[in-house]
Amino acid sequence: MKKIIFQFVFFFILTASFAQMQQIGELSSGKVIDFKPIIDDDDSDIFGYLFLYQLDHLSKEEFHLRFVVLDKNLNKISSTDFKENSYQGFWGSSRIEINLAKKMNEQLIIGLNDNVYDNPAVDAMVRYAYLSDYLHPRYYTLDLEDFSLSSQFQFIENKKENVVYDESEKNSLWDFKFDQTIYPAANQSYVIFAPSNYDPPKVFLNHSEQRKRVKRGTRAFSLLNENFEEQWNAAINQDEDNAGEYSLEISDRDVLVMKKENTEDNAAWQDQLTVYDAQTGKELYKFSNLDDSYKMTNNKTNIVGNRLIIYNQIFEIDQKKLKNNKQLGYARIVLDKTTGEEQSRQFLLWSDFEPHLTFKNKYGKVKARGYGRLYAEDFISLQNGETIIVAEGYKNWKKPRVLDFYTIKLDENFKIVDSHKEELKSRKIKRKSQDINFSENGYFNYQYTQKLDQNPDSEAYAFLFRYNDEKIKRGVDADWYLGMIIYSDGEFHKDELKLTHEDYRTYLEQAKIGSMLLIDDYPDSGVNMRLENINY
Amino acid sequence: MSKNTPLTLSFFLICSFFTVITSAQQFYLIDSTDTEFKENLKQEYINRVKSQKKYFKKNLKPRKYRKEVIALYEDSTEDFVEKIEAGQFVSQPAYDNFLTDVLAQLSKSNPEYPEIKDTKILLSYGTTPNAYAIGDGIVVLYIPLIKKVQNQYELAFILSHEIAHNLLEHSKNSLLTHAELNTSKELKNKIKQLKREKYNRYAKARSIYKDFIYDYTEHSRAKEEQADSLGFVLFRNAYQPHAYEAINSLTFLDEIDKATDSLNDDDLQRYLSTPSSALRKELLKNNELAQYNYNDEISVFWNVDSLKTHKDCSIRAGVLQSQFNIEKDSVSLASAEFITLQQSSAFNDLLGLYQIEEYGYSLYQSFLLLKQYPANPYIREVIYKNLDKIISAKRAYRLNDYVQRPSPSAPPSYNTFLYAINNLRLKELNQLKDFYKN
Repeated sequence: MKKIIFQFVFFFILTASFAQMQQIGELSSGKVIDFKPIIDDDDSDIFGYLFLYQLDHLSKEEFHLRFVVLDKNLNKISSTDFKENSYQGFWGSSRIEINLAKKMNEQLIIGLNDNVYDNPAVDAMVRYAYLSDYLHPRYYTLDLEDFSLSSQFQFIENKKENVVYDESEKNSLWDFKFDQTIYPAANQSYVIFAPSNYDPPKVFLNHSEQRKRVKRGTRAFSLLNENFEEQWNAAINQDEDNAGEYSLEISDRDVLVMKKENTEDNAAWQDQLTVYDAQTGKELYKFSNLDDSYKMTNNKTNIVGNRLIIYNQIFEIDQKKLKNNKQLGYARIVLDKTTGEEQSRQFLLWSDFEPHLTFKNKYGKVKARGYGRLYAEDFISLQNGETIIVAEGYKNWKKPRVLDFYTIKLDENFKIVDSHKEELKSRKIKRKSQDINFSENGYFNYQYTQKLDQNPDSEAYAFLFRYNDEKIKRGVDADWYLGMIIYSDGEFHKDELKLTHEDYRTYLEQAKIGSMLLIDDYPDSGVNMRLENINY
Repeated sequence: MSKNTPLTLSFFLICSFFTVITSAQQFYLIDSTDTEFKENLKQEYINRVKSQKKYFKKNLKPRKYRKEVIALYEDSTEDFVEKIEAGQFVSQPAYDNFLTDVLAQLSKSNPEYPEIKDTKILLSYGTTPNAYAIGDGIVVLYIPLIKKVQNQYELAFILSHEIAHNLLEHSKNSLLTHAELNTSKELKNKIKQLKREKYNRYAKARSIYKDFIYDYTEHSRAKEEQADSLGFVLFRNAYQPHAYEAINSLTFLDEIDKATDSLNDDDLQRYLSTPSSALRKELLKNNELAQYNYNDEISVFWNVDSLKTHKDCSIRAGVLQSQFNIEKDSVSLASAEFITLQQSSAFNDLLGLYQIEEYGYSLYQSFLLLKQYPANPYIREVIYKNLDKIISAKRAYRLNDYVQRPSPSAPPSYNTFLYAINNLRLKELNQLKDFYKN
């Protein structure tokens, strides 16, 4: 979906009849350069919204910016101004963007970075040779009681360090190579990865190889507390032959689950989950995705009560490369969250989808002319042991296309009990490479799942997706819709909302439980934001 | 039935969709389907505009300046015509008679201002208790203001103040100032220069804009003080024994936005439940706003207080009192006729809010009035119609256009109502709508 950069005039215009004064007013106003929903302390809801305004360009690399904080009903809470440096070098200029907006007790933690994605050369460098996922990640805390903004800080060698800018020093891309990113975890804590042992050269050709080496060269991670002090640390990737890319999979008050992915294009070993005691850092157990009958790769991990629920893609045991077109189906493995004791292991083969869906072969080719496969994008674990799979049909050869939208309900034995297929006009995808990955490239229609009721026991959800109602022809815009598959009282039903209109387009953004933020963009007159409850 | 007779609710068909209502009390209800009034008003307004444009064409020079004045004037008049066409302005014989009497009294007592008799006071639907002068001898009076003032004299002073704005030609002078600014070569050059700036453009533009705002605010304040003074003279000449009501009126204006009635949880539970379906208790637990410490008064540019064009009304009352040495000599009470007009305004306000598509606020006001008139079919009909519109809007995902979200500036009772309405499911809203169907 289009990135929304819109201009808000935050001074008040007395009357539009002051045409020349209005021009001055506009020159003296800021423009919104980014915004992000603020995630609440326990990740269960939205706290509000953080807007970043650029007020002024002070010198080549220095900007006058403003944070504006809105509550979850779009009422303004406060605003604060600050000055900020951003890389504007030989390789191209950057934009500043928000990568983190998280409430932690009475503080708002804000992460910024420079955005160089418009410049493919710099973008490649950042994505493949940097430790961080972002260029020049840096942070602020905003006190939600008195609205004081902290000094800017960064993480160097796992330590928080305040940044003091020397105006005479210009930013260099290589200064940012081992800047560290923090990843919010449960209990007001953050995961941070130690700098990599691998120092990439300034000039390299094989981008993906550089990334693998940087990630495999990461030998430890730490858990920081709410004051950004190290609470505990754990060694990772000690065995160089089996080193992989680590990421925070999920966490709660008791456990922190890290995932290690095999970065090689082979099935020599499969993804691994390591579960730590969230308080002490003690390794509780490893889950190695090993099975007598199948090879497995991890797809999604949920925590429900005291259970760790793992959803995997499954492949034949002797499969060399774990590609989607050789997938046999899915597995659901339930462990005791803290002991790792396995409580159940169930498999869902493509043949088990009958009579809801019929497949041509054991590898999941759908039995319909011109149809391809099914890809599960999300797994929602209900409290009663049931699962809802959000899946989309796709075809990835010759003329790749995104097809229908599916929501499938499975019982506690991982057997399908209900399904809803939303038949959509197929949407053509522009192939960027031979090995097209619909999910990673954001080609699918699925947006996200929204909980509908604040009651923690409620199991009402909306699965949001967007689609167009006609084939996109060259030079002709299709009409776009937001589709909503609502699951409530144990049943699925559909609702929809038109997104494209004659004089405006509507964009979707995450909102508080039960709602969605709709942003109407009128090219001639500006932007209107509104919150609408999802009907069910 | 004579047009000027107070109407008994029992036999008045308010407009095409409102049903007959029963009540012993007499109220003056507005017929919002009166298209003849709308057409006549539009024509009268267009004639006034034509005559003003003729004056501009004849008297203003140079050509560029004249063109700018006329363009600005046309912009503002187009907006006003749109409001007329949308049915925002209404007429009702009892209200018209009251306003005609006030004008006649002011005109008769102030012969040095013959223009007063040509003044047109327009009754308008609106969300706030307000009145304003737009020039061209027109004053707009919002129905909620009639509900809020304490007696007819306070309202007469507020109208005198607005008429004074017209007599002092504040709107026209404002228009001329705007046109001067818009055609100013100096300002044009400043803008050109600003656009050429690579760095610090915002700071420089802000400095110019800040000066302009202060200047504008200063002028606006001066205009308010002038209108207070002249308005008081007009009012005192017409209503000598009640002169102190001008002070009461200004003092009261400071409090006018404060809610005087509210719905408690029991009220909401009662009004948002049906015999077959009780309101979910959690919908009354609106603690969303409690988790925030709002600080939106912080101004990073300038002192907020210095920007208020309308100084605190109690300060203005003090200035007026010392300027004219006004003494409190007697108590002025609202007449029975004015009280009926105020009570009628409570009903008319519901329809007005519905007409201007403020369905959420109309519904809230309807429930407030339902507390006073529990079985009134008129109120139930307005509730039914508002719920119908709310359901349609919710289905189309446009509810936020017609029903606000809870806000720190709204009274707690209204916020709880808003939280509940926003979170009622379609099924629940439909049950409620059926329940209120007469």
